Formats: sequence, structure tokens, C-alpha cells
Amino acid sequence: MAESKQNHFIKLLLILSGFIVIQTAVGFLSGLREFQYYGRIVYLMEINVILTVSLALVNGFTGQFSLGHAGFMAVGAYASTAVTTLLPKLICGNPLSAASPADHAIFVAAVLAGGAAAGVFGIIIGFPSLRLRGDYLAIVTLAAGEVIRAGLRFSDFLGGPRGIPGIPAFSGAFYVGAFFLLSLWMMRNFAYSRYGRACVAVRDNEIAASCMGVNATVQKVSAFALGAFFAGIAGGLFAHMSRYINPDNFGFLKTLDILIFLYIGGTHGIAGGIVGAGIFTLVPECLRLANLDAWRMVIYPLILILVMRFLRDGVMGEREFSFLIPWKFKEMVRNRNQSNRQVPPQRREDRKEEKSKEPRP
Amino acid sequence: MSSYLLQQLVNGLQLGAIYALIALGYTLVYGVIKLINFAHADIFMVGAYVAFFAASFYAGSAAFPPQLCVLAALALSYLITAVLFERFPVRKLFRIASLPGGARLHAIAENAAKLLCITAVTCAAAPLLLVLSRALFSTHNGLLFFPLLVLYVMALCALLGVVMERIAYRPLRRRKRLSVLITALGVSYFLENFCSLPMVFESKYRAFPDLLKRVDILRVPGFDVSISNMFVINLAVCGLLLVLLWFLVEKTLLGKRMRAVAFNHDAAALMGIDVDGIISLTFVIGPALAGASGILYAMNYGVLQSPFLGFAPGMKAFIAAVLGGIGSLPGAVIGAFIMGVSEVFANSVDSNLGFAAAFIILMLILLVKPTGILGKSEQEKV
Repeated sequence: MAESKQNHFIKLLLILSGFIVIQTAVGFLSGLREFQYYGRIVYLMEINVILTVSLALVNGFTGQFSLGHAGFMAVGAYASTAVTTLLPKLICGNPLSAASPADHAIFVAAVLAGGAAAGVFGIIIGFPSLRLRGDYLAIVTLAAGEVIRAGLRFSDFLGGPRGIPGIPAFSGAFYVGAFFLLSLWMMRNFAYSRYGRACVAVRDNEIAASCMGVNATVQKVSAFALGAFFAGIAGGLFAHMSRYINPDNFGFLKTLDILIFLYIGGTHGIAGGIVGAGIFTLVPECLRLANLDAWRMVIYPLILILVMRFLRDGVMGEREFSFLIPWKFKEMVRNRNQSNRQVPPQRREDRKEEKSKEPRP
Repeated sequence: MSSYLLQQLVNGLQLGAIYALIALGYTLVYGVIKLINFAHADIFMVGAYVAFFAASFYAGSAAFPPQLCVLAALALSYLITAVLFERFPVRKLFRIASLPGGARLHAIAENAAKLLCITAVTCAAAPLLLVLSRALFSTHNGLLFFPLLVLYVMALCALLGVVMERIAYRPLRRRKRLSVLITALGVSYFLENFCSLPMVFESKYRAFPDLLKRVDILRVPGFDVSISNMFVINLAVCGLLLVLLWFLVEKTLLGKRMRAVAFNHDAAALMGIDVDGIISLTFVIGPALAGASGILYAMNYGVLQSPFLGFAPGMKAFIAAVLGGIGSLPGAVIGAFIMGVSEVFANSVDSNLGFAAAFIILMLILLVKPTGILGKSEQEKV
């Protein structure tokens, strides 16, 4: 069922305008007091999607295992807050108030600066540590995240362990929605670009990729830095939504949350990040509404364990939303999926194992 | 000044004994199945909590919690059922699997039988365990109580470890290592949150009863350094368990099998070694040591903050294992003492520095010598 180019773009346009309509409606509704909470859930969902997909760039596409994502989020959050809250307080006594267009321009610049700062941290941490593999990389990135958090606790200028209160509430429907679309668009473009495909090659077989002329280190570090950049942007948005941040918001548990989103959704594409973060931001809130508040954090990891046991590649597996695939690559993806289907199912090996386990007569 | 430093050194060794027992569990499991068992820190936490409940029952400040016995009975019954059904396959008894459509029927029947067995054993074992634990800890002899407590906690933690391995890790044996690692993260997160439930351990500050007053039993003449009874107990428990472990690993046939499995699974299996059994054994020994460490932790700190308390000591112990060379037992002990001493010194400079110092040490080792002090490097083949 080959899709015409026109249909593809019409579909994309429809989905885009649908998103804009919904986002506008959410923006209006969350202005009302009784819907404020639901509006926040939607924004949180979008921020979590950015975080999850940015982690997918490292853990999914490039096949590395980073456990320090919350650290980059913290860098983004603190850097952007420094620009919008701390510096104005220092210079003219009170933080920005979202009153004039100039303030809004500063906010956008602040979020981007937060992303850039996180990206720089990503390069600084990624360059030495990406020489390591597998478990060791996981621990070093975990350590890096914790060191960032400890550093934030130290610095008196950034509030120390008490954190920063009174951040202006910039992150509304417009900014969260806009940054959400922009980041997804950019990450998708990266994933299908020459660099993104080189990253996938590094994941599949590093030695073979090097033989094809791919510089593995450069690919890994660039994916890592880009992931950190978008995590920083998500951090900036988060800080201006929750209006209060402290270093413990960005501890190991936050990283674990993002990892759970990613691995439940599936690491092979952007769709996995969207589905994982989307559903699993909602699930705890639904459990909260169902008065299962205490149980929600128990069910959460249980689902992760079950998904790892029975689904292997997460809910989405190798699938991707078709509107997320650039037109140029549709053919390629379809061919790849078809050739994947012709491969005999992998379960055969498991069955063999089961048979051999039967006790001999 | 020198006496101050010496005193810090003593305190560091006291802390190092706690870390050493945890670090051994990490390094054992990593040595045998190349998995960073993130849930190990939470077994340590469970050990501390079990010790707390037993000690407060002994001190007469609280009743023995029945939910602990129910959970232990549940784990025990799961283990018994799993082993029973492995040894005596039901399919041989009923032979329904060969009938048309019988495979599904058989699976249903088998699962139903398992469930029934688990329920029955739990119902039988839970009251039994409760009575047994109450009888064990109603002794008023302090000298008898402490060894009993250590054995009891070690047994429960070992049970938890084995069940965890069977449920979460064994089905993933042939998978990529990363998916097992993620499962381990999930198990850790699950245990922390499950134990925080009000009906399990409940997340609140709990003061550990004073089993024995902290007394300075020795003053080093010339220096202003005192050695407390806590220090002696820590080092004695740690030393005793280390000697036992060393004996088991180096001097017995079981230990030889363990070393063989750690060396190469397939070759060990070809030599007739039950690889799954040996892996289960490492999940008995590691958690048992973590449980003992949990008791020491609870006694030294005197307060249990919440079921998330395992994270920081677990992380430091893990770093100790990496520092010593992960997979190497003596390395883990050396690393743990280094970590303990360095943490105490860092804390005496600034209380925020302790935790960060651990991670900075870790990053430095991994960047300079990723194999650690005593680790062997592995050649990577194409």
C-alpha cells in the first residue's frame, strides 16, 4: 500500500494542526482553576517525551548506556533559571515577570542557553567516558550525574541544597508545545541524517562501522552531546513550569524514570519514546485518581520488569509512526521491515532450550 | 593533629567493614554472571529492616511484625514450588500434553497446581515462621541474641536473593546484558517502593534500639585515639565472614565449581557443573553478606531513614568493588576499606563532600585504570 507523497504531507499537516488545536485548547482550559492540574499533566507529558527521545539518541540509536540524563536536565534547568531568575534579581532586584516581549525573548534565549550548557557538559563528560563500554559506561555516567548534583548542592549562588524558588511561570501551552515540536523535529532529522544512520551503524557493529569509514568516537560524542542538549531544554521548560527547583529533583530516580519510559516504549525509534513517556506519565496520575497513590510506584517498576521479560524491544519494538518517517526514507524503512520479516523468528532458539531442559528418561 | 587523623582512620575502617560486606556481593555476582546487581543495595536495606524488627521485638518495644513472616513465607513457598516442579515434572504424571490441544490444557493445569502449591505452603509456613521468630528472639541472653540475629537476617536475605534471581534474572539468561541490567534497575526500584508501602516496612524514621551502649574499650596511650566496642564488633563480624567466604571459595569443591563457572559458563557446563545451581549459590552468598552488613549499618547509625537508605551505601560499596577490580574478592575488600577511610576524611572536611568524593574517585579510576587495583583486563576479540 504505497502512499503517495501528497498523502504523506497531508497526513503530516493534519496531525500537526490537530496537535496545535489540542494544545491551544489545553492552554485555554489550564487557565481555569479546576483544569490547571490536567494542563500541567499534559505539559509534563511533553517535557517527558523530549527527555525520553533525547535519551533514545544515546541509548537507542547509538547503543550506549547512559545513566546520567537527569544530570544534564539539571544543568539545563539551573542554567536557564540563572538567566531568568537569578541574574535579573542580582541586577534589578526582581526576576522577570513575563510582562513584556523582551522578557519572553530572554526566556527563549535562556532555555536555549540551558540546552547549550547541557550540551557542553555532554561533550566534557562524553569525550573521556565514551571510551568505556557497557556496564562501565553506565556507572561513569551515573557518577557524572551525581557529581553534577553534588556540585549544585555546593554552589551558594545557585541556592545550594535549598534550591531556587520563585521562578517565573513561562512554560505555558505555547512554549512547551513549540519546544516540543521543534525538538522532536530536530531529533527526527538527526536520526535520519547521515550522522544518525552512522550512529545506528555504530550500535549494530562498531568494528564494521569503523571499517566503513565511520568515526565511532565522533558519532558517540555527538549523539551524547545532542541528547544532553535536548535534556537541557527539557530541564529549562520543567524549571519554568514547576517554578521551584532543587538539586534533589534531578537525582538518580529521575534518570530511572526516563529510562523506564524509554525501555517500556522501545528504544528503536522516536515512536517508542513518545508512547512510553506519554503513557507512563499518565498511568501514575490515573492511579493517583484511583486512590492507589501508594501503589503507583510499585506497579511502575513491575511493568518495566514484565516488559523486559516478555516484550524484549518494548511496546513499539521496531515500529515507527509513519508520519514521523521522512518521505525520502519511507521506501528504505518499508524494505527493511519486509526483509526483517523474512528472517525466521528468533524464538526458535528458546524452544530448543526448553526441549533440552526436559529430563532424560 | 596526628591523633585526630588517626581517630578518623579508625572510624574509616569501621565504615569500611560495612562496605566490604556489601561490595563482596556485587563482585561475586559480577564475577559469575557479569551483571551489576543494582538490587543488591536494596537487599542490604531489607537486612537492616529485618534486624530492626527483630531487635525491637527483643528489646520489648514492638511486636514482631506478621507481614514480614508472610512475605518470607511467600518467598519460601515460591522457591519450594519452583524446585518441586523442576524435580518432578507434572507432565510425566498426567501425560495430557500428548492429547490434541493438550499442551495448553497442560500449561493451565500446571500453573494452577503451582499456584495451589504456593498458597498451601505459604499458609502453612507463615504462622510457623512467626512462632519460630518469636521463640528465637524471646531469649534474654544478649550473647546468644546477636549470633541468632545475624544468622536469621542472613537467611532471610539469602532467600530474597535466590527468589529474585529466579523470578527476574534467570529467564533473561540468554539475553543481551543490557536488558538484564535494566531489569536489575527495575527490581531495585520495585523493592524500594514495595518496602515503602505502609503495609510492608513503611517509610518513616525508625530508631534502632540500643542493643549495646557504645563504650570506648581501648585508649591508645600517647595518642588521643579511642577504639569503641562497635569498631571491634564491625571488624570481628566482617573478618569472620571473610574467612568463611575465603574458605568456601578457595578450599572447597563448591568454591572450585564457582570459580570454574566464573571463568567460563560453557566450559564449566561441559565439565558437568550445574551452572544454574552455582549462579543460585552466588545469589545466596552475596545477599547473606549484604544482610549481615545491614545489621552492622543499623547498629552503627542507630536510625533507619526510609527504604531508600540502601542507595548511598550500596553505591559506595559498588564503587569499592570497581576500585578493587570488579570480579576480584580481595580487591573488593581492599577497595571497601579505601572507600570507608576516604569517605570519613572527606566528610571531616565538608559533610557534603562525602558522597561526591566517592563518585569522583570512581570517575578517576575508570578513566585511568578501568580494571581496578586487582582486576584482570579482558582482551576484546573481533
